[in-house]
Amino acid sequence: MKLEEIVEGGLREGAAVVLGEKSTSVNFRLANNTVTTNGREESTSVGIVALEQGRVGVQAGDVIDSAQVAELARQARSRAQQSPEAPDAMPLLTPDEAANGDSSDAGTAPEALPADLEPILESVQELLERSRADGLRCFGFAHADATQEQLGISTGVRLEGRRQNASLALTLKTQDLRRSVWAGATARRLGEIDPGALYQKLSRRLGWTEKSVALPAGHYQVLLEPSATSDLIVRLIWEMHARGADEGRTVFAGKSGPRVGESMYAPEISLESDPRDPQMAVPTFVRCLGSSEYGSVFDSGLTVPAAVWVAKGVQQDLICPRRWAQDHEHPVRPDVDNLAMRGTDTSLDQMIASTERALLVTSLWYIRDVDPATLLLTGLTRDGVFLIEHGEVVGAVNNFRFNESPVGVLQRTVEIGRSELALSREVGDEVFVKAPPIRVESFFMSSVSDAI
Amino acid sequence: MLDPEFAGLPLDQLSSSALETMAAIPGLEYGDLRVHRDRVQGIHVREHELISLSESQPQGFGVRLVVEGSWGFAASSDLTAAGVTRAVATATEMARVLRPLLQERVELAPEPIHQATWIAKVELNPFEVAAERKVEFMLDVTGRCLAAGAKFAEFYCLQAQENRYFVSTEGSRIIQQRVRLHPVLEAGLVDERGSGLIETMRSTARPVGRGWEYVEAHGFPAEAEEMVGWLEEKLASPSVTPGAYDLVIDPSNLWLTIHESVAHGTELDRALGYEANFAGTTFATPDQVGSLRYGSPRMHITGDRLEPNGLATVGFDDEGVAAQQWDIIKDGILVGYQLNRQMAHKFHLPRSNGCAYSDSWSHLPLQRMPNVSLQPDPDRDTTLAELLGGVEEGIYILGDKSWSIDQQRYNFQFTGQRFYRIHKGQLAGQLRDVAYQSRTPDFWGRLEAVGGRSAWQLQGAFNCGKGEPGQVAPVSHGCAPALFRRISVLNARQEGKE
Repeated sequence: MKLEEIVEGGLREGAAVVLGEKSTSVNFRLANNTVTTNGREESTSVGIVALEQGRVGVQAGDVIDSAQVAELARQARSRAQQSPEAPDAMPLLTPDEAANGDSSDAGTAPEALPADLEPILESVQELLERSRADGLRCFGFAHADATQEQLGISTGVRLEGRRQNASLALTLKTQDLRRSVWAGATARRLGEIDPGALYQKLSRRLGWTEKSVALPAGHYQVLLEPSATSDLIVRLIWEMHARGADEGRTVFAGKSGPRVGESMYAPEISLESDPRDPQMAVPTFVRCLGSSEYGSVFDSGLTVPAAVWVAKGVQQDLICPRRWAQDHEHPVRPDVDNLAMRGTDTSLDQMIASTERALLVTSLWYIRDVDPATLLLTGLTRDGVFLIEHGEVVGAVNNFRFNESPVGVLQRTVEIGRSELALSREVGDEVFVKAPPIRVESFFMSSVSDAI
Repeated sequence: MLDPEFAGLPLDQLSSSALETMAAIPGLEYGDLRVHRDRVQGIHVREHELISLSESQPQGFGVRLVVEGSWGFAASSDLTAAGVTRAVATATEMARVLRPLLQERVELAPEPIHQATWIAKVELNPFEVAAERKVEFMLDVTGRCLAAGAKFAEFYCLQAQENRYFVSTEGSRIIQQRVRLHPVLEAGLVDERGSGLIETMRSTARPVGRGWEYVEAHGFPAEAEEMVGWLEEKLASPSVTPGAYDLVIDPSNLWLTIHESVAHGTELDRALGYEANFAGTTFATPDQVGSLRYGSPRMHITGDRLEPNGLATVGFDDEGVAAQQWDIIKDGILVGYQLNRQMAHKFHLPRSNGCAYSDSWSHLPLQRMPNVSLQPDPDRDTTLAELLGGVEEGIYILGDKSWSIDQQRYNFQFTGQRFYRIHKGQLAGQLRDVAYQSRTPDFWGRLEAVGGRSAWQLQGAFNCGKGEPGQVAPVSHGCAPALFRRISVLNARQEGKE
């Protein structure tokens, strides 16, 4: 089925909002220098929102014909009739109020389909051969996704959005598995990622592990690589919703209201988002099939503008759907699919060279909330902690469990490097992130982890 | 009864199309087709309002082939004979394209041929209960929290029905259906003495492989009011002093520690490096089977896909292996692993123990966790009171909250919902800000006593994550309360202020 047929079919059956989606994804995994699993998936699906006098019903599913679309629309209407009135009810957006155009306005938007592995297969084969020749073991994952969406609203709004994302992550271990390093890269297409460069980076780091240094738990100056920074700032934006702050449930709640306008971080910290950023283009309009503190089904079609969340250390805004904004006198701020932390011209190597003594942390893992009031998180370092002394990496350090809040980390950030598209190891590439390496004073490593 | 929408799919036609197309593939060594039709409904109420009620009905199929020793997998939502034929061609192409990267042939342990229909028994299928009835019940419960003094009350209920059809080139043909749900009730009060923010507490109700009858019979109305009382007591309770404590851990908390430190640690695919880039590996390596002391002699861990109402309970796994039960740790020693057919062959075992699972038609089945449980004291029906009675000064922990563990399953840190001081064998009021941190073999080595069969409960999760692309699996863990000596306890609030 074509997306137009899905959208128009759903609307004809009385739906208020219809989101049709076609997606393709392709992937393979590596372990011990060989490919293990792979897959290619294609789907056509629809999400339907029905409204009955302010009551909402939502049905979604994979579809192959118009009869299935009609049945889902009927179920959505029936669901709406059984539901109480929605607390976030608002008039649906009209073509005059909704976003214009689609994400291809970003200028470099590609054809949405198909996603393909071909651009990297040869170079991955070469790096596996090199790993074998070097007596090492290589593990990894490559994937590419492409999605095309069409949104239709009964008011006449019609919008199209596209998204492509790809990533390659590699772990390189010595044959005895006693030393291990990781690196990852993300882009819109696999062809924009250079597996050879990633392998070179890993080889250099594995060289650093030839000497090991055992260090105890405690407070350290750390240099977080962009992947580690990105995992922390994504956790931060997940908490940046106005409702949680209004209700006193998050770190963004102050004694007398949300902490918007407060200097919560070091003055160099700025966090922004822009769906039209060509390196991390995502749909420029809201697509919401379930209301929450992040969005409302009534807001579908709303423009997602470029936004500044933190400027010079000051919290500027919080995510806020239209109805909550209206009832609580906040500006409307849609949720975002990408995030960028401003950087400088300083490279990571320059930061290492200017370091007297610090830990270099390449990736974080298994990050979980501990205390929402402070956004205290716990997690671990993984596959690459190094000791820097007198401007040089002098060896690999054992892993640690950390207990830290991203708010505290960004308060104690004393230097920021060059921002780049980074693969968050924990979050993955669902959210595009540009992040810099950062130097953090007094990062708390709570205990030692034996894991390698 | 088998879901009529699923039964109405052209399963025989899809099967014929798949098997006929596969039969013509040169070098084909194995092939299977899985057709899924799932229903997932989420209801979310807060205070007196319905926030969202949505349902999704994902459906599609996956084709898995071994061609000249190489996996090829393709999946599509195009549930037609032509769609299946195209997917078989795509899977064949995937196997061919990736063949140059292959260093080790895929081989599968044998499994008898099965032709069966397996339908999990539930009293009240949640998809046959009117949404109005469910929403009304949930709003009544959150209303009771508010009437009892809560400032904030939230109730989620996720319900799922899985339908699967499996056919293989070996001759198996299996139809299955199962239902599960996960009710989550949370209440909050303002912490006037502390941050001034809301402190929350969650019900210890567990996800189960049962129907809506479980939600209505659990006792949520009474628990809603009790939770507010517990929360008031918690907010007025002293913050824990860090140190080493004897811990009595309730099944509502211990299940997650079992999940993270034992169940994930005994997956053979992890042990062999298949998850090294993502979920991690394990310290429990294959060369140590029969010798690794995982814990004290009191520790008896089993894996199964048979436990009634278990979230990983099935008739057959996603590569057609019949459900089984087996020992993983016996007398504290590692004796077995979780396996799929490929891992069983690599481990030179005659048969898989049935741990293949795919969370979606669009994903390749991976080796996933069965129900992994700590068996109760085999000698006597030890009670919670008896376990508490053996503690001079310690902490009793209920409910899971924050959890984190390293990639080799050594270093972990867990918090909980409620913590009671144990003083001279008796509960002596709540504590707050407790987190326990340990190293897996040290922690389980300090297991001194396990409760008896009467105190044994099945707990679990809907969302165990593993694999790339990421997959989530439902899994249960049974256990009784257990006593651990001298475990390191942190003050979570102080950790944040260090």
